[in-house]
Amino acid sequence: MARERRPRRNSHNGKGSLPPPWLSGWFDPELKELFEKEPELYETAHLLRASRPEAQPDDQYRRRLRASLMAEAEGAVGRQGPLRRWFMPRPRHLAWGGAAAGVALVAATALALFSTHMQDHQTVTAFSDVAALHSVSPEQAVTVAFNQPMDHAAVVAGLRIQPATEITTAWQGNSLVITPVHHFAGNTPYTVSIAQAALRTSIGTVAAAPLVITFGTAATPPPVGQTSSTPELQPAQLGQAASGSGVAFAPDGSVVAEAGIVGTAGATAPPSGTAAPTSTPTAAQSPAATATGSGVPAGPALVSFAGPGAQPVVLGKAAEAVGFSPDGSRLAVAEAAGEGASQVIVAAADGSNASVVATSGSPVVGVAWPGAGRLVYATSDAIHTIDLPGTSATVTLPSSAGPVTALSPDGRHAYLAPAAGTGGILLDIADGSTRTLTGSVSQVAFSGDGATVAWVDQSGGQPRLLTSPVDRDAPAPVSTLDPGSQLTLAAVSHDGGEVAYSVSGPSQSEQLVVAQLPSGAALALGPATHVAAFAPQGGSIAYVAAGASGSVVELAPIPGYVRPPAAMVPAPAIDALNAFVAAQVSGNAGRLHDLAGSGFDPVALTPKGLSRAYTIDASSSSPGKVSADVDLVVDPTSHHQVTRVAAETLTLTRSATGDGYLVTALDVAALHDQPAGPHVVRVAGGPSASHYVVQVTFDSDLAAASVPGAITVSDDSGTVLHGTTVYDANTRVATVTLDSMPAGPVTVKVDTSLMDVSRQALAATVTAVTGG
Amino acid sequence: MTLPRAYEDQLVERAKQDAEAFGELYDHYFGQIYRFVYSRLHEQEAAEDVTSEVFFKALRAIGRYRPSGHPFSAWLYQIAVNAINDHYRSRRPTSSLESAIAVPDPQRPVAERVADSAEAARVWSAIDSLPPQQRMAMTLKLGEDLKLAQIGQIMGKSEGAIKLLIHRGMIGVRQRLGVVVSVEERA
Repeated sequence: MARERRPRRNSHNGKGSLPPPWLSGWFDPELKELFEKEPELYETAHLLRASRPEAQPDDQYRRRLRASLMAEAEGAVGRQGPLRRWFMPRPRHLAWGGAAAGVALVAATALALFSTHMQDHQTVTAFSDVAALHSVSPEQAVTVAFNQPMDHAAVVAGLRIQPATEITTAWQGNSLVITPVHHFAGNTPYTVSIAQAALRTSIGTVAAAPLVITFGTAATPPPVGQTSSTPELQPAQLGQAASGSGVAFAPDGSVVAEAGIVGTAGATAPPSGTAAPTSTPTAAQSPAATATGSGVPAGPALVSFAGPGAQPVVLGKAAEAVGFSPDGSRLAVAEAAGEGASQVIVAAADGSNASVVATSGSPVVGVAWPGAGRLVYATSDAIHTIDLPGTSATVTLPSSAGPVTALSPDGRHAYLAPAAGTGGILLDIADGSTRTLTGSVSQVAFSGDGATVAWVDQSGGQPRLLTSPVDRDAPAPVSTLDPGSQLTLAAVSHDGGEVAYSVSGPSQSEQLVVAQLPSGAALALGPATHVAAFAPQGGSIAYVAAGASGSVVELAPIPGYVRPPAAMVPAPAIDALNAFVAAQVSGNAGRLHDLAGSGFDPVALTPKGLSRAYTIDASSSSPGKVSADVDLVVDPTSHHQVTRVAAETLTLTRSATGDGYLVTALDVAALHDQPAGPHVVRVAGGPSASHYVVQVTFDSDLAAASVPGAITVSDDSGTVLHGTTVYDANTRVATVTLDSMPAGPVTVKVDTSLMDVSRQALAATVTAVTGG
Repeated sequence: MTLPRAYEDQLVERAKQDAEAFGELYDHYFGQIYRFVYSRLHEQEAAEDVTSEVFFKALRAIGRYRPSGHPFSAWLYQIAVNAINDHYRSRRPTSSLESAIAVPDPQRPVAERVADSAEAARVWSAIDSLPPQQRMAMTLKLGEDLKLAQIGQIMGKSEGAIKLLIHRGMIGVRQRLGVVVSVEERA
């Protein structure tokens, strides 16, 4: 399908793409030479050149400045140095007049650019705002803007989308707006094409080549909520906390308040061993100062709330930061040690057996566990690592950066605010590499698994919420409630699928919004708060909000949250699998080696130029071993207009230290063109409520009637397991609810009777094993 | 437009002693410097403040100016680059000058957006989200039409380094913008 681009008719050297006629009249031989082999970059240069601001200075200002310069040059003015706005203040209307002239000229540039274009009907030109992008929101409509009137019916008749997608079309002037009926699938490459014969102008001339637009969508679960009917959170109150207290989820699901408040009655004292941390480099104090001798502190303390009505448990003194180890057995706490100093304490998850492992002269802003035996903590001007029990090292920070304000929960990344202006730095703590987060200042949050970072871009006229994987530069804007209002980022969920932020505006009181990422579809609204945490297993959120008699800690289920079947594969294995595949996609060789065992080279086996990956299935057939099937994907481009896929099989084995999982075997097939038709992108199975459920996710809109008969589920022995199959067109998920509960992994087959809405069949039977 | 080199050299030498000669340099370069500063700051008042600072600094330092083989404007741009950086450093993060940039409205048709001042601003503002060195090189090349060698002189880098900055910057801009796709009509 690859088609060589033909030279334009108005090419004057016949060597490649020349500027469109509406951008002619400017020629830069240096850029022409620089981009000789990349005409698309030269074209971008033209576009920028045509859009540059044509500022018109205020003539009065120009004359006054000249007079002042002449006066100084002639010695009439002292040499105290140039003064800002040193000349006579002018009436404000002059400033506005100047500004208006500037804007008018900017507008004229753009209009001239376009009107000249409109007069030239020799070339059909189309703009698309999604072309060649790889993280388009699944909610976004695709617009194709033509430079002249087109034959609407012919163009729409020639329109095709792969993967097959039900769409509606509308014309706005010369622009064709393509809107998916059920939004686009997340994490999916798309090709929108209009056949050559269908590219017909209103006067009947036909284009010489088809139009092909390729783009990819951002990874996101399908949105399930609409702003207009977004429900309110229905929280249960867990207890009280000091204003500004942070919250976190403990591995057992309880909510930990960094500065919780408990009464002397009804609270459990600190567990044995918390009273006097040991192994201290400095004189340690009791983590829980007591007021009554009962062991219950008089003021704020680190408090665990197991649930509504449950007795709060004091874990220690009020904390500046907390972090649980990957296996959930240990807790790291940073607490104030007086006069601005802090100490870092490691204890059992219940707060017992505490010992001080580090002290700091300044407050600690974050603690995290990169591994079971390794701790990272940060102050505003330094990051330290500790290999327990006590060998420490200091991380070198970029000299140009501002203060450290956040650590990722996996301890692999830190965020350093900008020294001035916007654009802070995301630092890879292990290798020291950095990346700028566009427009960021201080509001940055990491997902619980550390793979996603979200931030508020404050460089523009109105704040924007952006997210990106931490290991590659792929910022994706997130739609927010009431664009233009003030945003305060509160939390990102464990898997990066949801975000919590507060929004407030001049005419609106502040409220919490829980939304899906990266689409931004709102799931629920809640009270004003800047502090929140998502439950690691999903489905609920804890936060600190204003109550009738002070701040309270509340826990609320997230309405509309669709809980996937319970994972039958250990979470550390899933985390390792996701991290390995993410490193393959980003080409992070160091990370790949870190996550792989010996005996093979994961870098050499991984195809180059990957755009994304689908983790099709994962299953555990024996303790400590997990198998997974992944499709590695290269998005289509203008040069290769078909998606390419390489099938990969991985084996993960629990490490000898029990610290996590490593990829111990890897088999990767060669990249090949993905056949047309629907594709299976995920198979997951496990118990959900009282039934065993298998979910099969597709990239295409399916012919619903073909789905039930195309999917069969069988057990280890090959016996077919009966159940009910329901296809949800909104999520493109077929859910099979089995009549009986299988004992082990199940085998799922999807056969070639499955059809998409374009009547294309599944190219080959897909077999997947899931559960365990 | 560049002054004839020999004439410019004479003018600069005279300006070290003669206010009117400096005035002539000012008349010639004021528009360029103001436009460059405005294209980075997007605010008229801020652009005026910084432009004033540039010319006062130039006036006070012109006695130390030595011709380097590059136009006098390269020296002025160099002062402007520093003044812009100083200006950004002095600003509070919450009142970024870049707040004047329009945020694109994805709901509006592309054609309408293109044919709109905000769209032109959006296209140009894609440069503003680049890393600082790329941003400066791109602004000097596409905003001021300077030669690569001049940009290198202003930024204290080799011509090759400037090419690399512009190449990376152009890729960055392209990633931030919708991409143009074109087909040619059948003959």
